[in-house]
Amino acid sequence: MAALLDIAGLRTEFATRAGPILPVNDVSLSVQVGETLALVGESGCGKSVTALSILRLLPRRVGRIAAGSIRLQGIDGDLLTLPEDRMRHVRGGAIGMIFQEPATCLNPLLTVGEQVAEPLRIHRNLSHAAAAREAVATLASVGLPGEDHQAGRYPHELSGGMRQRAMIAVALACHPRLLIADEPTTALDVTIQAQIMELLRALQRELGMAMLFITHNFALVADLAHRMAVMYAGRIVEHGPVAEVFSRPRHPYTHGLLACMPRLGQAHRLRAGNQALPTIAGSVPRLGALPAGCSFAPRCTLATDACRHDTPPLTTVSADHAVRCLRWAEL
Amino acid sequence: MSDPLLQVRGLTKHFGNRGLFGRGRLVHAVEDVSFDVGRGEVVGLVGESGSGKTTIARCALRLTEPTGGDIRFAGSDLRRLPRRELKQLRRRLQYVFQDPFDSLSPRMTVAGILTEGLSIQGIGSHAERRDRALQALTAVELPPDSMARYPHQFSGGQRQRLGIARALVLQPDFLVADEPVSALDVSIQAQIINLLRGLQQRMGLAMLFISHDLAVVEYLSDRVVVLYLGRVMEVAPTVRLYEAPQHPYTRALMAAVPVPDPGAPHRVALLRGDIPNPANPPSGCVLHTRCPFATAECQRAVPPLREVAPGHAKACWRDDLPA
Repeated sequence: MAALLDIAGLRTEFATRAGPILPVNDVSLSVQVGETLALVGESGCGKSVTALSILRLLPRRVGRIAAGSIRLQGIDGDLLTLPEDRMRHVRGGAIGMIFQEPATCLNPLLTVGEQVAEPLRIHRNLSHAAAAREAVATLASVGLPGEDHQAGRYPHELSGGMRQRAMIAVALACHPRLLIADEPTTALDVTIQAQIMELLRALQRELGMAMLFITHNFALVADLAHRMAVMYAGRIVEHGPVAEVFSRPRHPYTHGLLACMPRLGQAHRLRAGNQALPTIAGSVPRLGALPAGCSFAPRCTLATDACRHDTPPLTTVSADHAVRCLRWAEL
Repeated sequence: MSDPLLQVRGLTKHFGNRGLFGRGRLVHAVEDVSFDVGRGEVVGLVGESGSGKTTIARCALRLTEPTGGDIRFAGSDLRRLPRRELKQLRRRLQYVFQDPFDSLSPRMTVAGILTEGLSIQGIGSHAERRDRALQALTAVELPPDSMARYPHQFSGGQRQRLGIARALVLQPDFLVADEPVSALDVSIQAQIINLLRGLQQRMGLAMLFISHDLAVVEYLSDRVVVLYLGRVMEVAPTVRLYEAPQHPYTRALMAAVPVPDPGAPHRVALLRGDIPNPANPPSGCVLHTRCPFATAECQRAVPPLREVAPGHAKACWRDDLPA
């Protein structure tokens, strides 16, 4: 497999009143053609800022990309230095994107059909009529069938799940090779989430599209992704194949998060045995006040003086599995 | 249970609308809901959006006036209680909100936040109130020096601890916790649930624990009430509900929860379509538009809540579903 997206040494800096912080710190990732890579972590870990950095969608007054390079197969040059007019064709063209809250992305004044047609006219130079026809077909492929006249509806006329489908249709209109999906089911009810996950899985299989799936939910990672990267305080602390990371997590943070994940039908047994739910002590550090050394050290039961001294390097565990921990071999 | 602390009978709440939803439709937020919470018992209230779980909680505390039905707390009819007595009763009924940040005044110190309820209730001297605030702070495992700090100086999990401390400082016997961990990260969620469990056990608190997440209510609840579109679908002791769910909705809800195991079969969406608008709920069984087992009878008549085993009831016409 060839790398479709290759991110190397990405560093994004936010200016705050207390000085610069690094929500994304030395992040290197690659997404292979047709695979789903999950970027997973808790709030503030930098997963969404990574997505926005790839797309160069960070408002300039908020943050800037301080270092790194991002290459996308088929595009000459670095996405980070591409002229804005070419970058505009990458967004919505080669890379589609969907977000948590469709209401913030869909235009309330345009019907969903018009919104799916727009990228087709811009990126594929289709005529109005051809774009409209294709928009209806795209909407049908995400479960908004033409016979219901869904294309003529406005976003406010749709339920949350339907709006998410409409946003997926907009993102897929131009057959992107990469879909960036940032917490696409987090705002949905669980029975609707199950429908959208089914849809994403089916679309990916049919279109052979790669996906960067951003989530805080390890269960969704298990359900959808081939490989995963775990972020903590701006850095990738572990990455590897999903099955391997789940069965043998090598970072104490990954290990702890997997233990904390609620598993239906297990908690009442723990309670019957008078056992507490597994937790990770403490809380995520603020980016402006990161501890020295490994950012996880203050919460880690394995931490030693060495951990509190230097940031551990990303160490190779096996062919495609790496971890940023000095004591991974003992876990 | 012989003498329930909270007794809800036939609770109904319709929200009228003044234009926003148009066409003068009533939103049927809660429809004929009955359940009890015993002394020291934890009841989980689970449902998706529009299930009426928050409205039920607000009615139970009389923060919202019900349209119909009876709510009795410790024997008193909450709906007919005079203001003075209601205020006294309020001390015993406390609320923990989803996002403590919205409910903690940013201009007050922790000491101010924790003693405010005591002052309103006219409990204790200044020094005694401070003392009780400190005890509450210790109970939620926050350091005593938190007293002089402001809410924004705390993390999300710590703020939820503050929200719990504020509720506990009045030494209530009934706590309503409305999605208390939904805004928190997974690693913090379990901390807060463990804390609530410890406090509940130590203080003998009764609790109504509300969540959209079946996995979250499981650990704390003695019994679970599953709601859909304002109606009770199933009630059961926790172990029964998780090991032998009877209602198609409960089963679908469980099947939809993703499993953190890459080897597990993909989750299947057992329910088709969307949750209907509560302003226009389906006839008969409210689930019939999405239920794979619905029959003509389900469209016609509302199934009553029937006991299928001791303490286990379901509102479903079908008794012939595979176990």
